[in-house]
Amino acid sequence: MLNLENTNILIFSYNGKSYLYTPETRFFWRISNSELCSEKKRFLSLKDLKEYYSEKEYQNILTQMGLLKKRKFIVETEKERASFDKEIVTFDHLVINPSNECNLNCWFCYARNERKKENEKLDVERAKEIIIHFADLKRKAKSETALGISFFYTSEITLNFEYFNEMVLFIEQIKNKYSFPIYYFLPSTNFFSPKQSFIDFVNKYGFLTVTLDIENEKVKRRVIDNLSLVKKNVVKHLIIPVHPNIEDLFILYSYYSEYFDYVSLRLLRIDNNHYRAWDKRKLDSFLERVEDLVDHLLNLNEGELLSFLKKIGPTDYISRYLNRLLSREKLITRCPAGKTALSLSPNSEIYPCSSLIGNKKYKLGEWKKNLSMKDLENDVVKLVDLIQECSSCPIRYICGGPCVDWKEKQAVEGDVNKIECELNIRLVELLIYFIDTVKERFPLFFDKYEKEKKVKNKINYSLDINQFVDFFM
Amino acid sequence: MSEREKCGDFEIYRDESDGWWVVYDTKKNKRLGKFIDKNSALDKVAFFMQDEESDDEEADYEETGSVC
Ligand code: SF4
Repeated sequence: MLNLENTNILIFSYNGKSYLYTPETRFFWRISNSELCSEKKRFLSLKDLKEYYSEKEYQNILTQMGLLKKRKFIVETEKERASFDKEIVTFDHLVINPSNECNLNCWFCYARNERKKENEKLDVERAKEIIIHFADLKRKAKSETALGISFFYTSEITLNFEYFNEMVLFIEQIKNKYSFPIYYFLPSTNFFSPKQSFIDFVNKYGFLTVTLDIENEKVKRRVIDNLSLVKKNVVKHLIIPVHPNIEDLFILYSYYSEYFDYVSLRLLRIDNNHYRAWDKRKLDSFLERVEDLVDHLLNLNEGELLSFLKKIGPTDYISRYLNRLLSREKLITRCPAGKTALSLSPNSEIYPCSSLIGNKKYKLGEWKKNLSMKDLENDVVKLVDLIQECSSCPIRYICGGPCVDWKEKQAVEGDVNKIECELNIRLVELLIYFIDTVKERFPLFFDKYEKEKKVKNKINYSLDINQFVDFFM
Repeated sequence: MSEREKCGDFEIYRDESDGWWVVYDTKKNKRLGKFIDKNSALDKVAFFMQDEESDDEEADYEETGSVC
């Protein structure tokens, strides 16, 4: 019997509205209580609501919850969690980093420290051997899922474009020998001094991703000028690395949307000893900027709001949470690092993720001719249910657990990075409020959003808990 | 036909010709099933709402660069 009063749940109020979110099924509803709504609050179980309701009202809430439980909208947290399997059954994404070279020295670059070391380069023939080896391992594991291969996450591709080109030709030659599809991806570039061969490639490929240090005026101007080299029909995506002191987010998105088709903000994981590192105060100020953004968006008309959201890119930190809430997607791990994705350093060391390259604690091994999947077993990224602190967190399936790299940078000792947790939970709360308010104003908005963004809208029910429960009575 | 009761994209109503309850998806304009009693129809609506299967189409742009 589910003990309703102790069920893991998120109840919060923001801007005069209160909500209840259920972690297991990822449904949420608006609940009404003027006292509860009057200030920002957060509770993690129903019994915390007692002081805000009369005994009769509280019993009424328990009855509503009982009905939601009967129809399985609220379910008990599974006692038997999936056991963690260290084995890499198969992988879908291989990142090959042939070098650490770059023509800029952006303060946020994850490969900055590695660049200071000897400049090793992965030999082209060895890179080909590695690709074949991993594709063969995947075939041996009878995997049918696609294999995506990326290059140059730790360096600037335009400096070694011939290398990339050779890899592309090689992949084209071998891909028919496998039953699963093999794709290559063009990585993000700083686009500071692209050669004509790169531009020609992009014009054919049809897609360009640029990562830009927006505080470097000289770089910014030149990159924007360089965009004129690319054909109009190329989809242009900008990734903006963002530190916690960033100013007006609406202006930021709007300004760069003039030049790019999509803009994604990537929140930076900054070393603890850097003056821009995240701390509680900076987090609060960043979240205020997100609140301002939400306020601004809620003042737009339906068409303006849709056009704004349409231009937010696929890797944007904030909108990924919006999309997860809308699709009620369930994340069981933070990311595929070390499980279905692997990264290789220029000296062919294997890591779960390119950001961890150089941190020996996370080195999975070195590539060798007889390397097997077994050699790569690791539990760097854990199932969220198996992380002590996450297992009772109400947003666990929407967060997926801590980012290992961010934990390292933040020099966190325990299971999770509290800064990241607070950021994620506040984003979830803010976006639930956003979805509800938009739905009240423009009832069909998220159906239009679904069509435009190809994000399933599963919040297609009445968010008013009384109406919802009445229907199922 | 009884009055339609609506929850988001879903409607249920009683087909007076045979007394069964119909579950209807208004977004897809599709009848999802007919049930002998209202309770079973409501269970079905709950089931459809909770369905975790996603029939998302692929996004029309590719993700490049690190996605974290
Ligand atoms: S990392 Fe933090 S926010 Fe994410 S699931 Fe774990 S406890 Fe929750």
